[in-house]
Amino acid sequence: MSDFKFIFQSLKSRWLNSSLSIFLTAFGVSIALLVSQFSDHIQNRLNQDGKNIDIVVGAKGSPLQLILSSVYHIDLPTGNISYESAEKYIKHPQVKTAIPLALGDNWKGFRIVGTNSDYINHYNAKLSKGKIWDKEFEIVAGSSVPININHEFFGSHGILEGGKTHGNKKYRVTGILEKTGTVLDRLLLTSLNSVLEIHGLDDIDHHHEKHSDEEKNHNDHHYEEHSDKEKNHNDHHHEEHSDKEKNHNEFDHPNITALIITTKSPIANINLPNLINRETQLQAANPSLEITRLTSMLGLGSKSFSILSTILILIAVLTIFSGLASNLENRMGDLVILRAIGYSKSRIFKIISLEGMTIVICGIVLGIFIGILTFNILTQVITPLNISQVYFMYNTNFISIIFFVILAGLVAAIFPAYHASKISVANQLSKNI
Amino acid sequence: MLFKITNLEYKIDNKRILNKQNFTLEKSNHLLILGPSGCGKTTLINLMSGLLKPTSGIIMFENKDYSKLSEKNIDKIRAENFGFIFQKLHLIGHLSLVDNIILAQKNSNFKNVDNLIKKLGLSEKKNEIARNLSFGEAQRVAIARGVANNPKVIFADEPTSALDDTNTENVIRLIFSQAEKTNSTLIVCTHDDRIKKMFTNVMEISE
Repeated sequence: MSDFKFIFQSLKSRWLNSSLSIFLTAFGVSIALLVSQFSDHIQNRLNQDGKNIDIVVGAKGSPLQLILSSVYHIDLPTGNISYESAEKYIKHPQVKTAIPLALGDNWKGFRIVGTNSDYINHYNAKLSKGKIWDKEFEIVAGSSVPININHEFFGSHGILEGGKTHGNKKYRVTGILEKTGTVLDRLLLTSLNSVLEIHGLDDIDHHHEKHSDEEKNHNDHHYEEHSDKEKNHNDHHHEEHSDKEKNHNEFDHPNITALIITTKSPIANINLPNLINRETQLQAANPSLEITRLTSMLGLGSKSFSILSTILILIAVLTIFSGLASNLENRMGDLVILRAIGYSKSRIFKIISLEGMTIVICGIVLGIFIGILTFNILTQVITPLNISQVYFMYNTNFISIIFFVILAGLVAAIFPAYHASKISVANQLSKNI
Repeated sequence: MLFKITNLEYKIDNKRILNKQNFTLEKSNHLLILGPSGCGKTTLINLMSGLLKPTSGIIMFENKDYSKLSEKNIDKIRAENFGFIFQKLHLIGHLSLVDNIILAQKNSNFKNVDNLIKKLGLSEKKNEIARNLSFGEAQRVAIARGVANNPKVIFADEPTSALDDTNTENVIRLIFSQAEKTNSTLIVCTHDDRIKKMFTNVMEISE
């Protein structure tokens, strides 16, 4: 009789205990895999999406909220800032690149982001179809956005699906991006002016023209005044200037949501936010700092799940151990017969170890199946995960978990197996006889 | 010569379990070891089959000295040469009748096993699990397991102690007939005087 047949028959004869051990191992493995997969995914996304972003400038509020909304597009923005105030930092000598972002609308839950082509270049994204926008209300879609080229749609107000539709202007899709594995995959990108115009704000170019006209008028007038009333020059200049400022409608000024900055030097990553936070009404946040804070908070949650899955695996291992050990007492008579008819100690050891390992392997296989199934269900049900196109990764963490469970199972099986192999056949036979 | 036993003795904690034994056994010369309970009969067959290590003395099986063999080699001798029939049968309850019989065989010859089952009148119960068999059926299975490997020696420990006269005779006859078919030498230990008349080679052990 082959050892495998003997093992199978033995496990079958105590199927309730074997099934319990298999299911406990499976649940432990599946929870451990789920925790690891989601943690890895979050970490990967955080790294990918925040790559080469040193500072984010936006409205005052929670710095984490600013980072989440502007870099990861998973929270509401803290508010808007005037383009004029941000422009100073676009041209700042310590700034290498500064990408403006204007948020506020969505299409079927996919955020519409007003920006420039630098944003696409930042993530090294390439077009898979069509072309980038030439004019206002042309839009480029990320690879995960379910939309085709030349499709036209109205944007809806708000970040989440179901906001009021902007019925006055239609967007037209001119390009589709290749998959980047970044936040870009789930965004709709258009020119900054499109977003500003749809919200009734001056566009950037118009604002510049208006601004330079005002400057020009102001200067001409100033020179006239200057020649006529040379003596009162200074006082009059100030009055005129403040009047002009008042007449200008502040609500028409172009606003943006955030400015994504890459600095020229690491020291600027510290100095520039300090300067902005101290001297302006703007807020500058450091993504790496905020994300470290966020992951330490998330870490508490994932740590709890890790502990839970470790406990489950340990319970499973103890069940395997107790199943084999307690059963051993009842099976001593059987094992003695095997020894008596010529089974060697090492063969008995192998049989009992393999019984334990069969349970562990079945538990692992079932656990992986349950883990993948649950992972796929969760990624379908939870919208952000669905949009992010999360997929199950067979990475080093996956291998580590499987290795740990096999090792724990081996330890659980080895002790009863060793005990079984050391039985005194004659003593045991005389007990039974 | 099948067995040569010289000055064989077994003690536990200085308590003598088996007095010094000296004897030889030739092939096909079936041996009955007779003696009262506790005289060391079972210990003697455990020593002869290599299940126990003697305190002193020499056991030679086919000119191989057990004391010079590793435990693994003794296991191998046991697997290849010996069959066992126990008083309490010791069938593995969750295995079928066939599986119990072929337990000792790595490469089972199913044709031979089928013939054996047929001869013992167990064909209909072939796939029945052992715990569902009657005592009589289980006893025949235990005998079948003892002879299935065509062993050179069949050790039977108190095979008839719980049986009535008729069944005692039937079981001994069955064991004899199977031993003859497999050309095995029987070594039976018992305190049951009823079977003494069936053996020509009887060794009596006193306490």
